[in-house]
Amino acid sequence: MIENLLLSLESLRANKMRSFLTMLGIIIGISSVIAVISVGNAMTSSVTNQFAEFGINNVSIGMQMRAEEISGEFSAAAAKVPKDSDRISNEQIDAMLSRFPEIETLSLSEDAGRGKAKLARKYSNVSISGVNAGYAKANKVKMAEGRYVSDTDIKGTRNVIVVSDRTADALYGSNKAAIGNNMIIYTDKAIKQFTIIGVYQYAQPSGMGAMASDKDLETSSYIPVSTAKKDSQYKGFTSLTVVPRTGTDLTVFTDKISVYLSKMYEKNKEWESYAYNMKSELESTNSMMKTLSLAVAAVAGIALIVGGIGVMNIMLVSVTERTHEIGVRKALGAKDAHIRTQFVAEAVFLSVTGGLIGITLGLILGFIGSKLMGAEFVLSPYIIVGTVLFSMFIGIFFGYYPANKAAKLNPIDALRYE
Amino acid sequence: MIEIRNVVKRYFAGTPNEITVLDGIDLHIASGEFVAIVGQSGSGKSTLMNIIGALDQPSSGEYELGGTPIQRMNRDELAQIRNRKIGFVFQSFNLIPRNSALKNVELPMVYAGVKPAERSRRAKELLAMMGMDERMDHQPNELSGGQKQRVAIARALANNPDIILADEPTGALDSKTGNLVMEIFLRIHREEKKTILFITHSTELAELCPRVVTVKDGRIVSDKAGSNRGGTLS
Repeated sequence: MIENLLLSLESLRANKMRSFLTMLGIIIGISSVIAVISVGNAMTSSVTNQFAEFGINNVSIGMQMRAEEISGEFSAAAAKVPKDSDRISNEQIDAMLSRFPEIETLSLSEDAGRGKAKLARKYSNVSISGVNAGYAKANKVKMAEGRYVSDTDIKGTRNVIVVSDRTADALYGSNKAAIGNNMIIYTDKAIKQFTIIGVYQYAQPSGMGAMASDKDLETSSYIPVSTAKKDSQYKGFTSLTVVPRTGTDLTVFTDKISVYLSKMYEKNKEWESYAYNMKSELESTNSMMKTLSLAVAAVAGIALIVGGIGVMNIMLVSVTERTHEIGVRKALGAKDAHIRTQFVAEAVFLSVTGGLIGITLGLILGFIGSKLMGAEFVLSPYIIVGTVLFSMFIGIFFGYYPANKAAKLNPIDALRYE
Repeated sequence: MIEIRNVVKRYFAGTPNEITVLDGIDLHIASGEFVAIVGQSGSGKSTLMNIIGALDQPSSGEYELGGTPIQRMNRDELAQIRNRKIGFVFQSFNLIPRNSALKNVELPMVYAGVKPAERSRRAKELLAMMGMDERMDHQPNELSGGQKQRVAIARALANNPDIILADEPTGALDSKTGNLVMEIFLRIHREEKKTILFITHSTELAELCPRVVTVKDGRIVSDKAGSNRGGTLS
């Protein structure tokens, strides 16, 4: 076997240009397969991470305009704002909590505008959300200093605020220094004042570069939901996030809550409820990506087959060229198997070398591609081992026919061939 | 050693182009003989050699090599016979290009499954015997005709075969080098006790062999002792 490999090496060395061109087909095929798969993997993992930031196990519920309303009269429908009676009320939320023991906590959030927090000449852009204690859990808010909005804050409709470490740093120099200060926020409509009770760690969303300059970056700040509602004409909510207890079957739970909400909105002509979870969203996105990757990989696979045919072609040429040599080898006592192994080894060597170069090239392309898309590059050993085995298979598959043709030559005919 | 009885070789049998190349050859060669097979080109001597060398099969007749009938063997068994029992020396040397002299001599031993260390030792020994030990790392295209033929003879001896089949081994060499090669064959015959079949179209060279078989139109027309009974070139 080793003998045959060395033999095949010699003949390949003698035809460097030809060997390289033959390998090129395999190189292109393998590198495109590897590049596509690694970029696909990188994207999948990046999407998974993004979903995880939203909280993959959460169920989003809420209300939206009925489809027939939207399609009916667009302009009129678009302008419609849900009346308080259409919204999900606090009583309904309490009812839901007692109805579903699977719910660990609920996350409420009410938009309370955006503005500039100012201190002397220093400023920081903030958006204000009225939240409950469950919001931190549902959205994985990590505290850096102080505490988060509590139930007591909500009951007391306190003027307290939790700001990002960016804001704290911009205005007060450190997280610790920020606590206890009265922060003034200038919004479009009013000037609001809150006492800072906590600082959370701002996490930059992955997959997106810094969009605003660091200084002007707008970060969220959180106030008790009751405080936010104080200024609002509506007491109910249009959407909320449910955090189920760990171990809950998400699909079943989402279905149950969906049916429950549908009943609630059965008689409402303009509005309907919705309920979905990120996990199924993620799964469908992932399966879509997989299908896409597979489709592109299939095209690359065709390139690989073309490469394999190239190997076969060159092997046939090589066999014809070396017919006389094959005759000499047979006269010296080579059995059919010796000749066959020699040529198969040559084909395998061609395709595996091409495969290895292709893997290197493909990984480089995949790395660059992943970086360009802002996704993390994932190196999969399975793909590399799989590709090496596959290129070996191509060599054997496309090399066997020419090799067998060489092996089956009649010694005397081969020897006479000039 | 070699028993040939009524061997016929026809090409295109049963068609209007039918050619009878060998037409009932009977030949007996004992172990250790040095036989020249002489004849014009087209006489059938090469076909006879190919059949003796198990490269080709007779259309009819019997051929026994060392008591074993050849015509009932399969491809692998024939390869084994060529590998172990017969050493070929060709007019055009037929060294494998891009392989060193050493590698060429090792090749029949590779096919015989001899271990690398033993193979290399034996190949070096044979090349030294041929006076080629200084050039064993040279490739065929770096060797002169006479040197190539000496490598080829070393290769033919690699698996210590019973028979050396030499097909016009001096045909591509000038007369001085040719004589040198001839000398080597005579020495192998004398010292190694090999059966040697020497195929040539030159009656002059044939006369240097102890026994001369003349082939014409596919038949043996004469089988007599050569003038060189002593087995040396003067």
